[in-house]
Amino acid sequence: MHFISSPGEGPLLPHVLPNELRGFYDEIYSVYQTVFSCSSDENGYFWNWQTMVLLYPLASHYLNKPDTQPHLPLAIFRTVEKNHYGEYSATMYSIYPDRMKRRPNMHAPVIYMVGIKRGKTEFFEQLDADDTYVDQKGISVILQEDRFHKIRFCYQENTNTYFIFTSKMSFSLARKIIAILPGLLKWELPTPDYLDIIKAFAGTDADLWYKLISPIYKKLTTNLERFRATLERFARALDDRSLRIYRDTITRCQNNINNYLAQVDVWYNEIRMNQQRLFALENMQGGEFQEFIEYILKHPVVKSIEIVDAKRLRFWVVTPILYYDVDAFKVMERNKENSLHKYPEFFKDMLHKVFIDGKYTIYTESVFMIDFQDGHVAPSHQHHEGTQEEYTKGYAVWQPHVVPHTYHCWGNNLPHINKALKNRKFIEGWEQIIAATQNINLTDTSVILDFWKRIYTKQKDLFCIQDNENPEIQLSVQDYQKLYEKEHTPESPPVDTILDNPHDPEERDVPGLPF
Amino acid sequence: MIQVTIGTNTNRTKVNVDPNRTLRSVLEENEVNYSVAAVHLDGVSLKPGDMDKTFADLGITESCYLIAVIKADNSTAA
Repeated sequence: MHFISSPGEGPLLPHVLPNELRGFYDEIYSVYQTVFSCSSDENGYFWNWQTMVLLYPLASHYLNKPDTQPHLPLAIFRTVEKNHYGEYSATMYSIYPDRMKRRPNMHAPVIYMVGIKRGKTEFFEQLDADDTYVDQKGISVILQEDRFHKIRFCYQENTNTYFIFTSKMSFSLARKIIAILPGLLKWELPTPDYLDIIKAFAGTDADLWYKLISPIYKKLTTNLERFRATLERFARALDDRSLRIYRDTITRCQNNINNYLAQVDVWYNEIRMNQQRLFALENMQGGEFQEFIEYILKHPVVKSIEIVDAKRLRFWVVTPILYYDVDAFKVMERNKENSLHKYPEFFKDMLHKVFIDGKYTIYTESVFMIDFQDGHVAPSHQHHEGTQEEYTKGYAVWQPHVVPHTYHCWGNNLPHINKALKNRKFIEGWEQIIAATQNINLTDTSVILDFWKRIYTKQKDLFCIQDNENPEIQLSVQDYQKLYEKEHTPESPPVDTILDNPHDPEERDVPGLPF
Repeated sequence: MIQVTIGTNTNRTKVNVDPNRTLRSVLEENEVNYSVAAVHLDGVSLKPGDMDKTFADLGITESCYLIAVIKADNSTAA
């Protein structure tokens, strides 16, 4: 037998594998590649059958040790050949690019044999001048094959890489490198005589080396003990697989339980929601709703009630405007550009007596719907069919914030209303609704201008104001205009003559008004 | 004695009170902050002067609802 002596004889397939190892080669190969990595070794300097046969006992030893798996591979072999064309940094970068410095398995040392083919002298001179790569001369001398052979052995701690820069790549050099690794990396030896076998591997006598290592393999290849390692590995794999199956099953069951609990939660919420609705309905048959019935039947503002469906009632109420901002009205009066000043004197006088003097109070009609099951106030009609007038009873002018088809503005009252209704506190919710109908937000320009326009034109004949001292005196805007004109004997024809024009029933043609 | 149901947005209580007591004293005794509320007595909004009238003055002889609602503004936000 002879050692592999040229790149052509170093491929993976063992052409000259001894007979006794042929049936064992697959085992050797799989163990070797588990314990050693060879990411780049085109010519098989480290990735050949003889190196595998040498290192198999050591690899088996580590593989069968408990708790060594996280520390594998024991070493990573790389080889490369480069030409040096004078640019040292470019050559070094091509040998050792940044990506290699960021490898993930930094715990495993890299044994990196770098052959320099051209520009050797210049490269080694520049390498010697580079502080980053310090030659460990003691090792270099051992590895040097002859006096013309240039070789530097350098270690970089930060990347855990051993560089062997050499002017000549050879299998014998690779074997010598292999031979120094157990001592260098402090590997545990599988048998006491293993060091002698390694020394023989670094020599030139292949027969001697094989003679020394054969007893190890004889034990592994000639009796049933040879199956031990295989079976033990299989047992570990089987255990791993069983563990994985049990873990997966546990995880799957856990997920099923979680999904089931989530579904139970959904069902529980559904039960709770239905219980609440049931409770509400039961209350509506008596209890809270009965109390509301008694309350509403005595309530002075209610003018009409209509059943919409099984859960909703529609109400018409007439309420006085009690809550407003006096200062906001004063600002309107002071500002001559305000649309209020486009109206005739009698109209401004009426509003002044309402908001400033307090002689009159505006009364408005509101129509709305209450959903007693879901607990909320809603617009009076769900569908906009017909004219606005069809939805009102004509008890009074409309509340400016609650206008069919147009406004359903409860503003900040709404959360209080709906909270009370949802909590089955119908009387409190009702009173909050009534309070909302008694409010007018004079700073809400679009609503207010719409209100002035409406009571001056379309609803001029509806009940609008009540005398606070004589509540029996209830006037429409039209009534007030006549009263005003009587009190102020006109020296000229009334300003608002257009209102009496039978050919002009709509408000849009009133001259001088902002609409 | 008359039974007065005092309702607010957060609570409702029924109390028996002397009809000669003022509304203000009953509200204060039951810790109702009427300064930030509009008070309705059986659906009628109370004027500022009414707070110091007695229930008897306001014609209550048997029972009544005294509801304090939050003062809030309407707006165009429909």
